[in-house]
Amino acid sequence: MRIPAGSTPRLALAALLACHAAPAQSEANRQLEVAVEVPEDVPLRAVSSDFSASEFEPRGGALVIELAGSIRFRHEGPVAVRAVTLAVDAHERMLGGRAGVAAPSLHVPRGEEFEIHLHLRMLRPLPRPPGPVVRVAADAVLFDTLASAGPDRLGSLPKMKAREMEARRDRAYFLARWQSGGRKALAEAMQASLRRQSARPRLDVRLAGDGPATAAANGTARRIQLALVQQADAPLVLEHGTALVTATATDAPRILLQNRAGAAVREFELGWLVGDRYGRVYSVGAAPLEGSPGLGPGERFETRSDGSFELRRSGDGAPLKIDSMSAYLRSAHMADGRVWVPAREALEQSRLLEAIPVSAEERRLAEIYRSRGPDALADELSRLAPPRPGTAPR
Amino acid sequence: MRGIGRHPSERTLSLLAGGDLGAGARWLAARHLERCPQCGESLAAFVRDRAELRPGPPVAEPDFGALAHRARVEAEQVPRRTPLRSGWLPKGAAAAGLAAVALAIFLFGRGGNPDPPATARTGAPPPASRLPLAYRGAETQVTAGGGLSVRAFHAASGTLTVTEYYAP
Repeated sequence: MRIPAGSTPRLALAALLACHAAPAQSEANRQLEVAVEVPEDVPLRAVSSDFSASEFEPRGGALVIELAGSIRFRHEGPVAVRAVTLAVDAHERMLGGRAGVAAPSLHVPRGEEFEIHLHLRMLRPLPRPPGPVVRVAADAVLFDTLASAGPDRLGSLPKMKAREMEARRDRAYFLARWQSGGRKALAEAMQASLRRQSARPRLDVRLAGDGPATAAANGTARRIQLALVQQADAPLVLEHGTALVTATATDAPRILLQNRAGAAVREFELGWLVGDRYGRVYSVGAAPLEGSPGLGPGERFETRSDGSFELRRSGDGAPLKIDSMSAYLRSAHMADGRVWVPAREALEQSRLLEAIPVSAEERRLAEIYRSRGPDALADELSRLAPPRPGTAPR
Repeated sequence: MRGIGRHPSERTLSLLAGGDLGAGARWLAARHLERCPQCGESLAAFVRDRAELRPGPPVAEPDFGALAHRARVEAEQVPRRTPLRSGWLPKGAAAAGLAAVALAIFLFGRGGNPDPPATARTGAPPPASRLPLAYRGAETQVTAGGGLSVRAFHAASGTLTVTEYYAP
């Protein structure tokens, strides 16, 4: 594994056998196939790991890896950790050989331990390397101050910052409900969130090869125009968008947009949705972008990607017949370091809130409400409320 | 039964086995049991059952407040269903049958496989059915890089992870 200069691995922990038990040899081998590494500048310590449930199966000329396990870290830095991304490498130059596991919405102060669970399928060519087959490294860590540590080889920091801004937005929303209406208002807001999470239709998305896959599939490909959701305070305005679709697949949409802010936008992310003929709206995820476009004030950019995707309904696995498509600006990173995410009210008014996945933080808060009730949730919201001016960061 | 009087009821015998029968009823039952081996066997069976039940652990007092809260939460999450018109049911069943036949022809008629081997889906995340039960609500989405991400909630720890698959 390549580690940038100046960040040599401080700890290369080939997961060891638990000494109190006498596990089978095959389990011991599975443990030793995975190495956990923490670069020098990352204030985390890998306390333990368990990958004994993983499977390594040779098929043809490749090794299929079902990586299943967890790593327990201890935070040794001064400022609380908010998110961690782990780079998982089986083979850097093979499709399916490289992945990232992000754990957003963490709240880990100095000295506390936390666990990250991994469950993913990977591939690497045979023969096996002499050492561990999979290397897991702490790639990026985001702190409460929005400062970061780690090499960020996967380029996930912008996403981590955007997810953290979403978390702060959603905590502020539920805290305001508690402060204005007490227990009853907080419970109602959480019930509404749980209903949305339960009712929201979901997709199972698969790669359908490089496009235009739809045209190759049959002659029924058609180009549809995207409905673009505009947000008053967004730094980018979406001007026009189209996508080529068939009954079962879609190419990545092409969307023309313009920077209308007075400052340069370094990176951005577009949310992508499709609708069926019954009016149900599904979140596809992010509209693929090629490269990392920076946009000066007034500049235009058209997204493009060769990707093609097959969309199936989650649950019954039936192919989704695409009737409509829409997009919205999900986040924007300004050159001056500010991060823009949509306001909660804008998501409600545009009804996006009913279609897009709730933020990781809202999911976590909902679980606290489900299992421990509104009082425990109110305690958690108060605990994580922004510090008053003059107080030290948590 | 002449000579030994009426047989005591099962309830009387079970109360007698537990020592909960009143003094008068206990005397009457004892007189009957002296001459009735059939009721003696029933009483012995009750005593045996009672002995087997005794070692069971005490039942914990349920947290009714927490139960009521969970019930409210679960009830609120049940989506409101609109009743199907009865006339649609046969049509829906017929349509589903036709769709299944068409899907089977599509998948198997061309020699395809609905679940190709992993080597043919490089980079594909594990299907939701293969995720452990500890993960709930796994969802596959497209990433800005054109890859796929799987969002999974780990119920035991209350943490959410997002796994992204990258192209080389």
